Amino acid sequence: MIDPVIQYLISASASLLFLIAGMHKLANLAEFQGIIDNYRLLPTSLTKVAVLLLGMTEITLCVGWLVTQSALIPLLSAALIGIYTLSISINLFRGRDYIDCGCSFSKFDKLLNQRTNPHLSFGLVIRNFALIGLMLLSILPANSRILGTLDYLSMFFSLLCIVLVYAAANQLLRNNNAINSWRNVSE
Amino acid sequence: MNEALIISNVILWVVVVALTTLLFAVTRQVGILHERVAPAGALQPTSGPKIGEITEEIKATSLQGESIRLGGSRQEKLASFILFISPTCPVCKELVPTAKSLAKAELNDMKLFFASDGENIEQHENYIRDLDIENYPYFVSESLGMYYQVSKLPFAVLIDGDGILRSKGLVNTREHLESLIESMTTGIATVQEYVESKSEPLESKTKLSAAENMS
Repeated sequence: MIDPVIQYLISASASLLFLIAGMHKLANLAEFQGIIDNYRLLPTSLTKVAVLLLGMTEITLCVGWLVTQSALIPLLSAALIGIYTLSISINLFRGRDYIDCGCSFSKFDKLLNQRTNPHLSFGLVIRNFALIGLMLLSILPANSRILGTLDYLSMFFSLLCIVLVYAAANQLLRNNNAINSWRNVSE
Repeated sequence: MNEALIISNVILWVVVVALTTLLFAVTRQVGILHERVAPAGALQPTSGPKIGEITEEIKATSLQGESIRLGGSRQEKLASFILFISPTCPVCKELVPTAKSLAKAELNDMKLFFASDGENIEQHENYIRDLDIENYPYFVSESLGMYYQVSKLPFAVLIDGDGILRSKGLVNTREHLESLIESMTTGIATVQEYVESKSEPLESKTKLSAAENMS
């Protein structure tokens, strides 16, 4: 049993994540085609379809998280992130850790004046597992409780904090890329 | 009681939001620092032997008593990294631990030597003990410095296994030291050369697309 506040919070965060990710993919089709090409998992002729498909799926999931409480949405989301994680792992295993992960939101990058693209790293795999875990947590049945003003207040502030912590974690992954570009020496 | 809890909850939220904002700002600032630190290579003097030339063989005896031949066209497995230092140079003291850790990381590719100049052997021996570099050959040799035209310290020279001078320059930081090794592994002598080689294909690409637009 989990509290409905936590369930709503997970739904709202997941929905926001898929909204931004999906919009970003559909708005930058050509850029994402290149990114998926770089993963070298699909024939080039299929990458355009793949970007469209992924973008549409993400938007569908975004709406799904908001409108239904069915367990299908968390399971589908976990599967989608699982596919991303598998692709990242395969390329990490191949040693292609220098490719753009496609997990930055370039609109926000311009806003923040980011100039480097985040690369693949083991940290991303861990981050994705954390996301999958949190999304699956929302399948647990919620106890019914009447929500008050304070609950909505908590939800609002929590969502704000989640966005900031997510952004900070992504920034740390980028910083780690920059640090790792040095010759790795322990003093 | 209930009212107090609500107030404390609100205050805590404000504090948590402020802290996460700060956390994000700090990580972003670290990121900006990484982006702004432009690559800087070792300052390369024009005098002395040129990069890519076969170096002259110089025989020297280290203070530890080893007789070693540096440079010259002999087939050797390891590259030689010679760091010119002196007991009177303050920057050298800071750079020696960096050079040691770098040499440890590149153990299979290069061997680290120290070179210096001066009359007072006892001063050099104390210096070696101070810096804890007894395990690395330390030469007190005027001819070595003369041949490589070392005018400012700390100065580093990197000679590959075939005796070819791969890079040299005034080194003040770890970045400078790394740039020497990087230039050996990539075959690019200076950062300037690298930037040029990067921008050339880009230019030709834009020219090409311009030509396509014309047609």
